[in-house]
Amino acid sequence: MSEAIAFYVLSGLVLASAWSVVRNENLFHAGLSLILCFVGVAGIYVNLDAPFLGAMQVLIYAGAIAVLLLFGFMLTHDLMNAKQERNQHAAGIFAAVLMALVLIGTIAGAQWYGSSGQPVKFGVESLARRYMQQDLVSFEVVALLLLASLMGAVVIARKEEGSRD
Amino acid sequence: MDGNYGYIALFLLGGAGFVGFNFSLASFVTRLVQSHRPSRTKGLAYECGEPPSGEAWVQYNVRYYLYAMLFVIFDVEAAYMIPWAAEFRKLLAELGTLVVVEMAGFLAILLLALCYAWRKGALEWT
Repeated sequence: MSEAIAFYVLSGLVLASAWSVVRNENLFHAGLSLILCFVGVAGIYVNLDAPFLGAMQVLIYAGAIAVLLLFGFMLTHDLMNAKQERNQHAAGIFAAVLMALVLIGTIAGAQWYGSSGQPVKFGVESLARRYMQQDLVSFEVVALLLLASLMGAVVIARKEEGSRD
Repeated sequence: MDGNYGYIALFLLGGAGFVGFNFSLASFVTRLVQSHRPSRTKGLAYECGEPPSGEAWVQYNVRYYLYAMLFVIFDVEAAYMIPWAAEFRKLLAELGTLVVVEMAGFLAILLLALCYAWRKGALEWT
């Protein structure tokens, strides 16, 4: 019962903030609404008995992605005076339908129940086990990817500074 | 869902309710007793501080982006370390020191990233 209430409250929060992201005239406010949306999705994960996923949602999306997005706005020249393109409805609807199809396909194809009829459980333990065994190489490659992204940021930032001086 | 999260929701609602109640009460009482005569001088910085000029929405220095990027990298690093740390004992018993070596390799690469940023002066504010 309480789970159902939490689900509807959180869903309402997610939908309202997502609507605000799409419709807000002020790009920065849209970015802040996106953080609220991410936090609401994290709440839904926790409600669905996936607290680790919820924590990662807050850490990565509401933390890292939001910071990059908002810094991107702040580093953009003359952002607040930029006129919004008005005729993007068709492209927007196309993207939304495509996304919906992907999501429906994923949900339909997912294996919800194991052979015993119990819901399949994925915990932190299976994740850690995969990092250390099957996905060992990709685990180390992630570190290299992070290294490369930092080096890229340093190079771009230094070039920008040099051109401004 | 575990019952414990109910308490978190309760704290969230309680906190939001406390702030909301006090804020609306304060603004209501203020509205009752205040006189409304705004002027440009009243809007300026009080006593000390520079008088504001220009807009708040300016283009920020690209240096801030480096700090954001550093934050993101170590944020993502934490996301990979948490499952490893949570199951460390079990994995160590099963797989032996390989578990430590793998994480050491992961951290060494990220340490290299930090050293690179440090060496290039990205951490210094000149």
